[in-house]
Amino acid sequence: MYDKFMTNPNDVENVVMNGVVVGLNIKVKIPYYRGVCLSLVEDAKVIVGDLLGEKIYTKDQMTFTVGGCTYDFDDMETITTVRWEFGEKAILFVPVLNGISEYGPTNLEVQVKIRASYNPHLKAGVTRMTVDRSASKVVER
Amino acid sequence: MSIKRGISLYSYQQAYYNGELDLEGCIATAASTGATGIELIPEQMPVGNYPNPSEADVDRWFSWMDSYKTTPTCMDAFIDFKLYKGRKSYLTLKEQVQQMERDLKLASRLGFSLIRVLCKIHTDVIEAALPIAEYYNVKMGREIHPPVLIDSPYMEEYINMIERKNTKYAVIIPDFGLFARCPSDPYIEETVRNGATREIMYHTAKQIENRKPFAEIRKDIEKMGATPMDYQQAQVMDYVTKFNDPAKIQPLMKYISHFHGKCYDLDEDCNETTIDYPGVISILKKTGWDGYISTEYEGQRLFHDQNCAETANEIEQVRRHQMLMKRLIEC
Repeated sequence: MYDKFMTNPNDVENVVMNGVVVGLNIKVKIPYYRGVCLSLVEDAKVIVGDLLGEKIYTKDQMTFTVGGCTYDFDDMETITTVRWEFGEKAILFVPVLNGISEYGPTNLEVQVKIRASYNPHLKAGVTRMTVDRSASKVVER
Repeated sequence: MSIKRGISLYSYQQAYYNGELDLEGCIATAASTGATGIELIPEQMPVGNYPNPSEADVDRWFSWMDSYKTTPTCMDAFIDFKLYKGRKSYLTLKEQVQQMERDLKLASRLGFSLIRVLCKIHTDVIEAALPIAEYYNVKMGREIHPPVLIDSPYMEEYINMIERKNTKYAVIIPDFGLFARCPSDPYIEETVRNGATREIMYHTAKQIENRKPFAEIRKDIEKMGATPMDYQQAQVMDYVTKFNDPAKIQPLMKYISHFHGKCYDLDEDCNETTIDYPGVISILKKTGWDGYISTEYEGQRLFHDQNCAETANEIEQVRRHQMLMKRLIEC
């Protein structure tokens, strides 16, 4: 749901710490038709592919930032009072060393899954996109 | 008195998601069609904060209702019964009633006299919440929505409870999707983009419209060389499209407080291409029903897969649906 609007190449930033790119911030909106509390964010996965190959990042490697606070996915399982609202951009931090490749375009596949009480067949929202280092933004951590 | 026209702001969800309309913008756009009723999903477009807006947020909400000459009609509530990961069972009855209370309270603050309860919420949860609904003076309307049928044991159990409790706080909200004859073209095209065969999907849709049993449709498409994807999509299509005869609504009128005017695809002449609007509205007029029908446009989501180049124009589709209802109500 909302796959084609949930994120796009302009929502991807290289994250720099002490002069080194330590990962990516991917801003993502909820792939569902309403907001939910964090315990219902079931899964996230990011597949990063470039000339050097493909790597899969799972939710235990990422953090999730919403409303200015950053959470581990393990902790989110018990958080029922903080919400990710419909249309609100959350930030997935993915520890991709060196970030968007210097050696050509990087292919990203972003998957986010909501545990929908009423729709056991709700699929993960999936966006596939290509990001160029020259066009990508940089943010200091 | 006649049937009144409203709009569920759910219809403008894509514009809200993409930042093209905020909550006030949705209300203003709804009012510009001549609709007077506003239906809201506060978990989709919160008034300030969900579920606890500030007094200032609530005041602003009512000032919008005044400015745009609109009335809050129905607030759509959810009970996330899979709230806790890892639990073997869903939320307990008590926990579900607590979530209902949260929404009844919010509805009362925002001036809604009715909440929509999803069709999957069991009768015992609604029954247990009756004293709370009475306290807040907000009715709970359980939706009848496909694939639940109008005349099903599931509905009968609910109606028996209403009769047994002799209550006006448990009511029914039918969704016009109950009267869909076939899936819409945008629905079929989405299955094609996902890998199904166009010819087989259109054949299936046509036979669903002819009320052919699925076992026979299956034989047809087998002959046409259906792939596993075709069988799967055809089965889902058959499962979600269950035409109910509009006449079946008549015996339920005394329990009905509101309708969801579900729509997927309105053509340039303002006809819904799949749902029997003339049939249902003609029955509502005969019974003298004078409540609200809220436009609930859902076709935008049929264009949200990444391979889809087209995007639906929600504002125009909702305008057309309002024109359709105006025409049928006034004729």
